[in-house]
Amino acid sequence: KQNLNNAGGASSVVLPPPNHLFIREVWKNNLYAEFATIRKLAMEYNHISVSTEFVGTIARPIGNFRSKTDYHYQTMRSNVDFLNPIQIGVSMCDANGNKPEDGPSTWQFNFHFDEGQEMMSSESFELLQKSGINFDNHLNNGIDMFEFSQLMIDSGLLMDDSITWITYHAAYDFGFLVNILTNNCMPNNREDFEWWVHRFLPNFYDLNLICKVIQDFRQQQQQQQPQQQQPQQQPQQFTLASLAEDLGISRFPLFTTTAGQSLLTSLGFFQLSKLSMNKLPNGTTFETYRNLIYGINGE
Amino acid sequence: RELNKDANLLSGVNPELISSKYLNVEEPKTTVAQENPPKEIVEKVLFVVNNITMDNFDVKITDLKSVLTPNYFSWFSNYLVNQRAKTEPNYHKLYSRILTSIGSDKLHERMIAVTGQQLFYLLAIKDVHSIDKNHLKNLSLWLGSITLAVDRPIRHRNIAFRELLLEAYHDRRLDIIVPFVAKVLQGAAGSKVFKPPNPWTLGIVKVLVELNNKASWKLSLTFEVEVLLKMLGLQMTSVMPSNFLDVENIADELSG
Repeated sequence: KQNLNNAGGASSVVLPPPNHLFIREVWKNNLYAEFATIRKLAMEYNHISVSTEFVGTIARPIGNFRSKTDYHYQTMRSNVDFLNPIQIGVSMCDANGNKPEDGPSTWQFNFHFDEGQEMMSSESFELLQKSGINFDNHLNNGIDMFEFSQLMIDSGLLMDDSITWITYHAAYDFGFLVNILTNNCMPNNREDFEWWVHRFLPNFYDLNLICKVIQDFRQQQQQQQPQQQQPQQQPQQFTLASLAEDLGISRFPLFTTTAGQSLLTSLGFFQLSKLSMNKLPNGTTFETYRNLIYGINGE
Repeated sequence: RELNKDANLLSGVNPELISSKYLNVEEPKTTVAQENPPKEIVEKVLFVVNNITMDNFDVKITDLKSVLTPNYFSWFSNYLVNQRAKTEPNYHKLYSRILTSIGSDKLHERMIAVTGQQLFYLLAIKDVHSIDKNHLKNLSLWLGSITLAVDRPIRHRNIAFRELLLEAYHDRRLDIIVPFVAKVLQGAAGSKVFKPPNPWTLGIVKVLVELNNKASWKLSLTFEVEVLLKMLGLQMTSVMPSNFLDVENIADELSG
């Protein structure tokens, strides 16, 4: 029996085939051609992982909130309403995590972004520049968001029961998606937001929530056995990178890009589900956490 | 058999067809062998469909559900599309409700496929004067009411609307394509997802408005577009038109 707690000590290193590590950059000049490929793959490669790059949260809502999740929703909502995504990464694979043998399966959509018009601290501007964002290119060659949303809506990836979406920290990914796809302000309340999410994305997993469940279980165990506590294990905070390390996924520089993050999300998801035989250490299965968003409706 | 009539058997004549690569029917995947029902089941189904109303709906639909097993889905789809929806637009709401309350995704897919077959056949008839405009209108409305109106997308691989319109502009087939597009899109008016500002719906409307501005077409087509805009709660002057007509090979470019 596999035990997830040992996954960190796994000596095997996960090395995806080289063609899986290829990222297709999408600008306005190749947007239509790339979507044609995506539409062709959609039926067989029906597991879609997604990651979004934006300037970082700038707004905090004030007032009274019904609950912590409500506060989380209102924070996300106001940021999504204020901000525009710079990049969206999308990676496609089949139900077993396999990708097409030839041709691309991971895309990085680069959106039209006018830094002069956007709310952004100079700090995050520099940070984004350092991480490789070329703002001139986004200004001149970036994809029109309205065009992107049209192509998404009839691509076969949305509003389809046979498609499963995977994210790490769904709230902002889906927040921006709903915002783009409705071409409207964010819904007033969390319940309406969830309605839209389930309309567009009938099946999804938030890997962050699954990681939180594992982390909580480990902490509980450590509390039960204080004598075995090791100090270096104590402050660990789960991130996509730490999950990947735990699972023995090699660190490639491309995993730090937006599309790379979406690729790493699906690698993490499928590796975790293979190692654990779809079971989490607390006895639940992945299915338990289907269609729950960490922080919004999954606690 | 009369009821199982295929799209290519239209009163014995074989009109010349020109099909568009932007219209594609998908054969629904099926694990159940399709067959024609025995006489008593045919009679029972016909009796229900003849007598069902919005008022007695819940009682009658139970009778239908009890006899309509998945092996008859193909037959039933052909019946409802060709014998009913094609000629009875006033009952589209009722028929669509029958479809959604049976609640089978397989049946829904098949119904869309059969509707698509019929529609795409009509749209492909080269001589536009021999196309039955009423059937085309009714089937277009029907397609919209079993897809967009019930929050089901029409995928690009089945109908690429913008490309289809731009192709029709160059092939001088707007007379037939514009009413088709406008009628299908009317389904969006009843949907929280697809009504504007839904970008997909708006994107097609923008092309219609550009055509209205630039293509010198007959007044009836302007009227088609105006009716659609009104249903969608839009005004012609407030929609920013697309800018595709002068771009060379634009349909090919959009379809990738």
